[in-house]
Amino acid sequence: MSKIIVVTSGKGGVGKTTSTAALGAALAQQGHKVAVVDFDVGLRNLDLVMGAERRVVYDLINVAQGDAKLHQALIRDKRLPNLFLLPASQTRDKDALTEEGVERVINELRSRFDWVICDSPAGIERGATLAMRFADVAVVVANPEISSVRDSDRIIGLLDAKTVHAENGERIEKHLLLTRYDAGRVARGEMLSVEDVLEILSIPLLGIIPDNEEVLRASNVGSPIVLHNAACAPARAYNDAAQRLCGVDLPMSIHSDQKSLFRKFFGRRAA
Amino acid sequence: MNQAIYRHIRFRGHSFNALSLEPEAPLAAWIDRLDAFIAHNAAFFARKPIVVDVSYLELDRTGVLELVKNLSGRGIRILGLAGADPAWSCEDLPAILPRARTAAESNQPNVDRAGEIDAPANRLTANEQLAFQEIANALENDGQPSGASNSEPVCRSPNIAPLVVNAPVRSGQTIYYPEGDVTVVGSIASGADVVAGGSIHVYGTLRGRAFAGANGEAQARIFCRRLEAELLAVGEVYLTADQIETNVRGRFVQAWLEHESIRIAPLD
Repeated sequence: MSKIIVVTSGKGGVGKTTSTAALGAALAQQGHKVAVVDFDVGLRNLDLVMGAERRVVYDLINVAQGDAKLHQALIRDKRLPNLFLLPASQTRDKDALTEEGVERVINELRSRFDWVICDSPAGIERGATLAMRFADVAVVVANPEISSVRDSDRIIGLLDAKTVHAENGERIEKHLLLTRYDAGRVARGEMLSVEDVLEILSIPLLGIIPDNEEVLRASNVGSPIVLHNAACAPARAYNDAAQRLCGVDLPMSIHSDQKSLFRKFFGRRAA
Repeated sequence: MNQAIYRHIRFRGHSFNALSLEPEAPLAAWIDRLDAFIAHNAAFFARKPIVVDVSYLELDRTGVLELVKNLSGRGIRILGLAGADPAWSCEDLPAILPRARTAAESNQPNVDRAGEIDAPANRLTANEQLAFQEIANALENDGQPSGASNSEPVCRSPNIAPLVVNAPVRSGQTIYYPEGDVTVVGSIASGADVVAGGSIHVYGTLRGRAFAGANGEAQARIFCRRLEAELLAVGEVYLTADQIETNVRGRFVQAWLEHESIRIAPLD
């Protein structure tokens, strides 16, 4: 069983790349063979967050256009031997990707990996629609604020219209990953609550990633958060989310480093 | 009074005559016949509004998309699609038109004149110039003020089923159903539009824009479980979010037209 995940959001800067790296590393730690694929052609970042920027030779475009073999372009992670990165090209633009090329690369990845996680560019244009095109599962990343939630809603509409699964009359599995969640600000009414976001988007919740400075620190040193500091709240939240992707039924909790203060459990599993 | 006029922009349901192109299966052979036709009548489709009726084809959305690209590549300007599933509606397809009535089927006052355009339209290959003349005549004689067509709004027809949408309407999506009522079992997101010839019923939160009575039907109403709308319109009158009273926000309400202004009252 091999699954293609697209991590998408519509809006930029909500945490797609961080989440791709974290979910990829968490799934790999659980023993799965994982490839993370950067679809943000021209503005690649996943290589930095994965700490592989000094080892990029070939990229997604080279493979899609047949200039390089997939195994030449895949970069094996130094920490986890079953985690691989397929980087994007920084010098090309998104028009260099064709649907046929992407389909070929995805099919080849599908035959070699348990999980293929595609990091979508922001926006709703070609790059984003190609990243979602062949996905089986969508992880929709949103921050608890209205502009992000509305953009995510737009993306959900596109997932239901423009993916291969949708065009074949099937439903694409969609999950919400709520990032940059600050329980204190929600309590003060400065952020949307989990209930508000779920009510608007009406898709199942995959996880709540608390806002935490460790996330920025991890991406600055080029390490997925779950490898950088496995004990911190966001790392635990990403580990939970990765387990839920594998079908494990965990209670939804908002992880916190100050357990006594904010620990809250939600009785429900997802809408 | 002037104030009231300036606050509104005018919408009206109009009927126009357009040529309806009806591709038949097998499509490849039909395209060959079309090419032969275009070769003989190079300017025929130039600058004309054409509706493509796909009811005779069993195409899926991709197939229709392909056909649209094929026709556009031949310089055919597609005003809209008829006989297509309204659920396919999105940016890369022309507007999906409601089930069309041919001019002959129409029971509007201009039926006699309009009925004639069907005949020449079917043998256009014979004489292009004559056909153009006929259509031009028909268009001129169709000069009934729009009120005439409004007096028999399509949504009055007893045979037209309401549109029921069983999923949330997402931001950026448009539900367009000028024939009648639209019922949405779910919410309408901020940035989504629902346009109905009749009333709009929302069993969820209305956060987007709702246009009821889009053909000018003043009896249409909007019902929603929770009102957070960006815009409400009934007939030709609309209210923006700023103009909606705070005491009805977030509530189960109905909105209707009374003395050329929209009234909103709670139902809970």
